[in-house]
Amino acid sequence: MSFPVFKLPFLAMECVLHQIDDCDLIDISLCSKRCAKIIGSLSHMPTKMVIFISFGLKHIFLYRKDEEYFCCSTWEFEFVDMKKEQASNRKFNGVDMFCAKRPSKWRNQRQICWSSVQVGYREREDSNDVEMGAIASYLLGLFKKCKLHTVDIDFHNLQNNFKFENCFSFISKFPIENLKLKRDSENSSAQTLYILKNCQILNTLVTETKSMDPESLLYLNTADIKMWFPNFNPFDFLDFVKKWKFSKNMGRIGSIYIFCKNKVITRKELLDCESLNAKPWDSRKLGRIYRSVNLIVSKPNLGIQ
Amino acid sequence: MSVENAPVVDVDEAAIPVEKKMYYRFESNDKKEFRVSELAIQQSETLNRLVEAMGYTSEDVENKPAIAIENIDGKTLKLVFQWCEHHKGEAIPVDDGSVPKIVEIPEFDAKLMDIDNGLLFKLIWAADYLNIVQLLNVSCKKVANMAQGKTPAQLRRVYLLPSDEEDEAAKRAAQEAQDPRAREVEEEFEERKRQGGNSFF
Repeated sequence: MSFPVFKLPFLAMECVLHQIDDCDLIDISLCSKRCAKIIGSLSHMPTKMVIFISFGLKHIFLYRKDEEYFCCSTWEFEFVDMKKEQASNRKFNGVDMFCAKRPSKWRNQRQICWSSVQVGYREREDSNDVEMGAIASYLLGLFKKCKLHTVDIDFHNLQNNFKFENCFSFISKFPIENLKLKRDSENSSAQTLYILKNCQILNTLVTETKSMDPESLLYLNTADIKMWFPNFNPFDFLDFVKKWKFSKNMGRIGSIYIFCKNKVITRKELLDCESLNAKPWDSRKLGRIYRSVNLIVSKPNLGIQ
Repeated sequence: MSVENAPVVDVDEAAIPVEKKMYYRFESNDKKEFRVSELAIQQSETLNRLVEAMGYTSEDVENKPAIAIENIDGKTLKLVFQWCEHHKGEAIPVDDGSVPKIVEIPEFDAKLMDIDNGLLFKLIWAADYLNIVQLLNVSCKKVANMAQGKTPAQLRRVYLLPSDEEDEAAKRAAQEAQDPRAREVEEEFEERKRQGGNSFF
């Protein structure tokens, strides 16, 4: 039994499509370019994407509004042995993958529905980096109003073969609004550098990774930056501050706080106060090294504790 | 005085003047006539506005010709009016913008829509044309339910979704049909090119 849904009047077609859950809509969009165009142009479509990556959990969440309870679909990348009779092949941006849909779930109080798709691991590899990147980039391309709101990465025990070059190959096209990086792994330094080098991070950057490549500092260009206990030395900071002052590519930085356990700058001379148009050390901060640098173009604060 | 202690008065129900219900007459494009109550018509915004604008009295309804609905056939219109009569007096839902829409198909509606997809298509078309919000919602819900648990390949078959190649072919055909002169000019240009002419004009 077939039904020519695209031959309905537009309002009726929209009424049908608005009653289909998001994962089915995304499946429809895979059918042709025209289908993708129609699905992408529907009103009330997802506006926010959140990506979580850690050892055990790799998720993509889509939200309709800013509130958490408006989550409309979830893509789970887990250690699941996908049986072929349960799974079905789907192709996102040319990447074949096994997906199994779970029934839609309803949150009764707010009458919000979300649906989830499990994406299984390929037999030859135990990593879903390519699939995750393909799905994320496909969804961002499909829903034009959808922004990559948050990327939250916990490097602890993250699989070594989970490569950011594969997962985030699309990030040069889609800026990340907020990036959170936690803990460390063998590759965390290189992978953090890859993201900072290739992607615009617009609003906030919070790093809690100790092993960071000092070169990362030279690619910072985010409104609000907080770095917790990175393993930088004073000269790395100095290079950063100099570049920050004179580079046009770091103009988005509004404030940056770098928290270190040790006093990373022990001598005043390391920072040339006059050339940086800076105020003297604030002696009231009792043993901490606190610095406020006023730049000519923007007026950011640099805090080194 | 409490309600329990109030005196019981026998009422002659026949003596109470009952407001006569008005039934409008509508005619489908295949000349089938339907009589529909005023209350049922309120489910359709289009028809409700139409009859309001006409300002018919009870006599007018009987004496004047039936209101023609030229875009809808009798079989579809029968379903529409059956639905309207069953749901008369019910509140018309307001779109709150929630997606996916939460719509449940009542038993009566499910039985009514136990029809082939061709007729269901016409029913949705009619509900959209007559602006019957709830009928549109439930009928679209039935179509939306067809997508559940389907793979993209199955969805393509269920919803008759054309592939990129089919879309391209349809687009070309539409362009050619729209502007036959352009095709003639193109053919003439190709012909001259084959003959080795270096100037078209």
